[in-house]
Amino acid sequence: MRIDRMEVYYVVFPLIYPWRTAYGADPDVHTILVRLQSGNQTGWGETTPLYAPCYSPESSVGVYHTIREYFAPQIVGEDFPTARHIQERLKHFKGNYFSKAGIENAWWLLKAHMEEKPLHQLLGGTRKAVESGTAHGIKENLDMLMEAIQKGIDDGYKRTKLKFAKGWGLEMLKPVRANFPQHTFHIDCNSSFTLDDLPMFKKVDKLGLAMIEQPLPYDDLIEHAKLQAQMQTPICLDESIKSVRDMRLAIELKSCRYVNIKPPRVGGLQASVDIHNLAKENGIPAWVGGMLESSLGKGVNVELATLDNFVYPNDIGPSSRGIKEDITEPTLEFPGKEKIFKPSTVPGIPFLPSPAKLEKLTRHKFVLEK
Amino acid sequence: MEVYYVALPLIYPWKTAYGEDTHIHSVLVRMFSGIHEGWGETTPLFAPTYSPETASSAFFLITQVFGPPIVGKDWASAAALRDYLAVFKGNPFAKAGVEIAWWNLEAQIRKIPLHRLLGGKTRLVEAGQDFGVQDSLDMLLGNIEKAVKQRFKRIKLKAKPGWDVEMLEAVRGAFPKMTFHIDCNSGYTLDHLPLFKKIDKFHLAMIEQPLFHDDLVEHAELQKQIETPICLDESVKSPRDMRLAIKLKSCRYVNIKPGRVGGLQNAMEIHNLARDNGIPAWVGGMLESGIGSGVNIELATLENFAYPGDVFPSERFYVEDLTEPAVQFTPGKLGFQPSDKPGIPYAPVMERIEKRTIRKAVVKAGKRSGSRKGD
Repeated sequence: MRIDRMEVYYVVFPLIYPWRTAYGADPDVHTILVRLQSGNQTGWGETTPLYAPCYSPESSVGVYHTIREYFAPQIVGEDFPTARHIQERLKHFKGNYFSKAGIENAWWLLKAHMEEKPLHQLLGGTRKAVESGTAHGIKENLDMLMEAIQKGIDDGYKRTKLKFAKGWGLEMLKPVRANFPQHTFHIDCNSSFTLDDLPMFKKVDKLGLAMIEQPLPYDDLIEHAKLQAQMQTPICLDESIKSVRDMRLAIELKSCRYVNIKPPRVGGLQASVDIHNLAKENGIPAWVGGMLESSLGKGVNVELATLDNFVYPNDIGPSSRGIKEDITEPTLEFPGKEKIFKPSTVPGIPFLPSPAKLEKLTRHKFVLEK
Repeated sequence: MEVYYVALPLIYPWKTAYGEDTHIHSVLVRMFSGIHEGWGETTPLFAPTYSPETASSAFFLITQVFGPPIVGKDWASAAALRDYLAVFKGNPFAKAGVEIAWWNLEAQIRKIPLHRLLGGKTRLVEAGQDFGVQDSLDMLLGNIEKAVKQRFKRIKLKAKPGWDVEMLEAVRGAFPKMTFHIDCNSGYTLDHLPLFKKIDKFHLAMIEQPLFHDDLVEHAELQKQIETPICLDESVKSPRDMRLAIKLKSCRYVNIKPGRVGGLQNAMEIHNLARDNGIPAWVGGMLESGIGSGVNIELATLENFAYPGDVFPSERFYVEDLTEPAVQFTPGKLGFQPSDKPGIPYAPVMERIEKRTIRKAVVKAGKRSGSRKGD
């Protein structure tokens, strides 16, 4: 399909609670929305690194300018029959996965609208229900954490993810395991440890966790393999897997036994599907992670999570769990009491940006038309 | 702190994977402390084709995210500055712009040449010659002939699929004794192993960055199977990468560019790690003005820089460089004498910078933008 027009929006929407990061706290999400137009059809894509480059080297500011200055001129006015053609077109540009994903994910929704199919059908997903897990950050004290965990379990969440950091490590995890001996937990380390912490991880290894997510540096595969060789608990990679190539190396090196897939982190849905398939062929189960994204990005993640190797509850939460003012109409919520989402029954996804919200929350915008 | 995004015209356009750059796109950081000032330059290319960074991502990160918390605070060492910046992932070029300005500022305050501050010796820094992909083999051979007559000690040749084995056969045939190396700019994969086996017979000084830009694992695999040393460029972005490359045996040479590795502190640490492990180094270059080249010359005085560097006189690229004087060979030599003045000898000319500036920002003390009241 020929891309006639691209609009890119830098949108800022507020969270209920600030998101704590290594450099401070973000009270708002800075997200980038891409709208592609072909003939009379449109497709939206969302990509949301953090405001500052603290999750990956990319940032909202960087993504906006990268798409505007370098990528948009390569896309608008050109014909892209498949998502791989977009990948091919942008392959000379190194890294910048989030920037690439914003464009590519918009292409997928455009395609879905043209074919009048729900997105998951295009992706080859077959699950009828997508399970959601819960996650807890660092709390003021252990009592508050125990309460939050109990509430999550009472609400029906099947697995609980706990942020794990220096000062909120074993001292937190041991009492949690003692209080909840049967529940499924995993910890997310956000790459804040090194191989020097091996003795500590040996202790974690005894606590029967489902997995340890991204313990070592964000761009490492080699040291994760070393750590995995010495641990029973599966390592799950997040930041370290940015491409199909990374997944292939991780398999070869035995760097992980689980993988978290986030479409923006890996450059879009095509790479997400390819990584999913590669993991599946190699006996590595996957789940869908999430960034701080609006219901547009969340909706895409639900569709992706219908692929069959996504076997662990995902990091896809309802809009009302964290967002004060979402940008889509409707927003993503659980359809019933269970902590599951249903895939789309309309072409693409049901969650599209509302013009009124865009009007109110857009900070920068550019348009390119050919 | 002042930050300038400048576009400086090149004499000849620079060919890249997506087209041509007619200008270099450079980000200059001017840092003040009391009556002193220091300049830093950082130059990823215009587009993210060398690394994931661009001139514009570096400009916005420095001015909006990295810069505000730096201004108004005391930075006793480059390591302290680097540690503050460590919460931000990647983006070594953006970090280097700020960090290098700190070094030049420190050199001004202490009134010593930059290379003395870095621990280098006052010695001539030798330059190599290099040639890109040419219209014909005859043109290339003609250019090499000239360089050999000028007595350059080594010549670097760009290589890419279609301009490799045949080209090298012709070159090696015509110049059996000259020191050559090829730079592959990560244009090959491990599937090209048979090709590298052929290249292995040309007795090159090294093969620079044959494989993927952030790979260490496959380079180790390739190095195991060929005699010619592999030199890493793009793949070494930090001391951590160097440490892993040593452990995995991914390379036997390393090219160090301060911008690529996040600044001079990391450049020195990589240099030292390489030295301690018997890996010789050389200083690479980006498309930078006299400010960046001047810094590279100072860095190249460290002892383990044992192979002629990619440092060039201004007139090779620019009608008018941003500095006075321009970077020139020391008379009678194919190299550069390091600074005998505080910092570097190439002083930025404000009128020229203003003339070439596309964006400018003055960074004020405070929180990064994007935070709200009470954050």
